[in-house]
Amino acid sequence: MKSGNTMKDHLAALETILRVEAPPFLFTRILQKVQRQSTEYVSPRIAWAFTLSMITLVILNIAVVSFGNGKPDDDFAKYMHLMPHNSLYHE
Amino acid sequence: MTFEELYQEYKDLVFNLTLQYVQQAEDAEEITQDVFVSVYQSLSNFKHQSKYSTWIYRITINKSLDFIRSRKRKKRIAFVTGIFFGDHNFSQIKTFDHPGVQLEQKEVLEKIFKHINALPDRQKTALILSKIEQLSQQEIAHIMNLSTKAVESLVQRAKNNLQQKLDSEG
Repeated sequence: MKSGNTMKDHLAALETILRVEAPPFLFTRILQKVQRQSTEYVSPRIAWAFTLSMITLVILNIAVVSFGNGKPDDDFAKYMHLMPHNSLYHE
Repeated sequence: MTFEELYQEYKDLVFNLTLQYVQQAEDAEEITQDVFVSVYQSLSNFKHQSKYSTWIYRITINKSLDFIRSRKRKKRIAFVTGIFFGDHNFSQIKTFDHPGVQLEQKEVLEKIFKHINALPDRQKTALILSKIEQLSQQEIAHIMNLSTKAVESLVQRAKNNLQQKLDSEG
């Protein structure tokens, strides 16, 4: 076909495409894929439970960082004779 | 209808339709597998509001378009990493390998498909269903969830765009 061909020729070329058969091994591969995916499956209930516990943890962390003033920990450290600092040899 | 019966009935339809989108036997096999995995997973929820064929056409079209998008994304990432790390794997673009194309038509069809691939998704789908799959406008309208007028207009716009691209190439 030359470059000066009309649209009709180009569309006619599309009609010459032959139908082909799907490869015979595909069905086995699909079944394998389905089986693999079903073993990797996580139930929505577990996914939601995990998400909720992660959100609760994050909220607790934010609450501790934002609202905790640190003093009770210092008192506790003194009471238990712990060092409330990271320096060595009591310098 | 069982999954195996559906597979036997529609495997060639799915494989051929994916081939029109990707023009690569290997990629078409991968998409066909994904289509039937989706069919298997949602068969129990199929509500018979449409025909099996319409449903399978829709899944195939969506999976093919998703595959093309993800391939483009991978190419972009490979291009960027190629610039920074000197890895030039992005240049290994797969060649045109459509098993339904006869040798004497290969050159012409490769050129036409290059331009079809550049069309917007809906125009591409309308053109493929109408001119290659030879479906009626009513069937295409059902599959694409559009009116027949909208399908007619999409096919016309696709043809005009294709014509422009082919003309500009000379």
